[in-house]
Amino acid sequence: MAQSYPPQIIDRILRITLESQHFAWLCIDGQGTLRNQGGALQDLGLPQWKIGENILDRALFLNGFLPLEEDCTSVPSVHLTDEVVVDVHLFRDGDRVWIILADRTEALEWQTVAHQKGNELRLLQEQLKRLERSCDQGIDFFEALEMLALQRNEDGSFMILRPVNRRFVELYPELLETPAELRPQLKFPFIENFLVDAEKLWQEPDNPRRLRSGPWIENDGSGQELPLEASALNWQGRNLLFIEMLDEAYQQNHSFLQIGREGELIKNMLEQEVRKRTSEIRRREEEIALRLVAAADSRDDGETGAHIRRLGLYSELMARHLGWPADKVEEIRIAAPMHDIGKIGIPDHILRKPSKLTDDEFEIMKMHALIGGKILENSETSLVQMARDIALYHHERWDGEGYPEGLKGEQIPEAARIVAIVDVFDALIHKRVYKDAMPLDRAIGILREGRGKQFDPRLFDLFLFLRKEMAQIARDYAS
Amino acid sequence: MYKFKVCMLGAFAVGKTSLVQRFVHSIFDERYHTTLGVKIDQKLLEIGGTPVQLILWDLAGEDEFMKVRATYLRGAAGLILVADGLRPETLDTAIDLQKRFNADHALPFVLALNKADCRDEWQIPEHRLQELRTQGWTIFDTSALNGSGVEALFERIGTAMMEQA
Repeated sequence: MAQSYPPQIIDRILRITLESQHFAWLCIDGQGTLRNQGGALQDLGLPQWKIGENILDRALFLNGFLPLEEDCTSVPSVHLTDEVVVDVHLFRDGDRVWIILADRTEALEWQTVAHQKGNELRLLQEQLKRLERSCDQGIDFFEALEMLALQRNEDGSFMILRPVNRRFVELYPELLETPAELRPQLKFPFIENFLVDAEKLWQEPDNPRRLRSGPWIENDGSGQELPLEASALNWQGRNLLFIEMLDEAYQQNHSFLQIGREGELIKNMLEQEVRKRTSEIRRREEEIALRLVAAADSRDDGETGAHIRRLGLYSELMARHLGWPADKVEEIRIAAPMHDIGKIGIPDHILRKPSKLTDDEFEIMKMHALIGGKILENSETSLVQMARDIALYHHERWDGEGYPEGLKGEQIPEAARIVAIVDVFDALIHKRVYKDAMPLDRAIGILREGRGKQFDPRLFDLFLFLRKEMAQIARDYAS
Repeated sequence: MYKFKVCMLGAFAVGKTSLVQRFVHSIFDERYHTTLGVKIDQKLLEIGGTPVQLILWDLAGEDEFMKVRATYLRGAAGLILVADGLRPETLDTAIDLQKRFNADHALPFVLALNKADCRDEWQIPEHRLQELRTQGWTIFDTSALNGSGVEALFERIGTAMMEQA
């Protein structure tokens, strides 16, 4: 003959141990009639009585119509419909069987929480086993559950529903000193905060919801952390406050979180290291490129180390504001200074001529774009590919009147269109052997004439928008 | 005597618990212990000759799995936002928390950029901090490891709360 739980114990189990805020509570009596006792099936998204044959079968097994040597059982995560998932707990109570359906639909949508719920379910089962033993030994339910149960008095103080777990007495000695007039809010600031919400719940006596505080941690006096959680409940006109020790379930959740976050930190560290090393490589590449370009340009009185550095920075600024990916922004900073690398193939008497070039000389000078493109062609490195585009096409014009290929509009790579603008800008505002530096406003005025002709109008407008930052770069890298 | 509730907010593993431990107990543990829930500590200090008791609510760090409950901030007189100088994304989290819980700047708040002992390796660009300063943010470089900036941080929030009380 299976043992029956005392009705008050069943009642408490139903009221206290159910985690879900949406649950229904039914009963099959000795005649096999199913009755709705509390909660609402509608809350679970179910029409009345439609709880699934498998659950009823188990309940029938349990209440003795069919032989099953158990007096409590759980059927976790049963899909009642395509959308409704419930945890089911069945308890025999004399000739009746209680059925508790707890909504788990939302929980299952979140894997981590589902895992946690699974652990809590196991914990619940363990608690039930302990309860079973406790009943035999006459130990109170709350003692077994390591739960402090308090009832709110009218004056806002609390009285203990005895007996009290020993660990709570160690944490909160006042439990024994003033058991009928406790004010846990004075002892625990966390409870003080939680009671604001609890009071709201208690002002709605018909609200069956169990309000939980979430975990908080107290020091047990010996330096050990003690995780606790409070909950509030209306029960038969009484305002109840529970404080639970969360040892097992909490530690498991804590371990999962610790492992997950440590993993995340390691991932962050590795990503940071990759970023750092990539940045170092980029710096090295940039330095080599700048030194080589400076060496090549040293034959040209018009080009200085500062000019090529500025060109990289102007281009970087524009690319960033265009929303280019970070790696491409870095690439143009390094690639733009190589725009005139082809001048290495132009004879000195033309390159260094202080006066205006003849038409023939200019034709030879124009060759520097093709030579630059040739030097940098056939690379598998995206940086060098960009440098090649810039070197080859930075004298192309938006209207198709440029050289060497007469490309037009967006046929010209965007990187080359950017450099086309900033190269002329920088040349205008700086002194050369053959000309003086031009004031910024005048230089902008001249550049404006090239909008939509020499320069991409959209990029030129961006350049104008950034003119202050451009001027700042020019000042910061004047020499 | 003044008594103020101060909430510590920030992403996970930025050092909120370590800052409180350093300030209240003068200790530092190099191991990372994630906080699940709320830890409450208290410290009495004196600001300009006036005793001020700080009730420090160390709230679990925020990430995709865990969000700060707004109810925990009830009754707070000030906020300490914490970010990790080595992890730029934690500054985004701090800014987001500030927007969610204190968009109108009703509560005094300060930002602790923690792990200042690794300042050479910080990844947060100065211009981002400058931008925040121009928006009225007070920023402290702190190290729970060596204690630098920690006392000043808590004293600053204490002073700000006294001024507003």
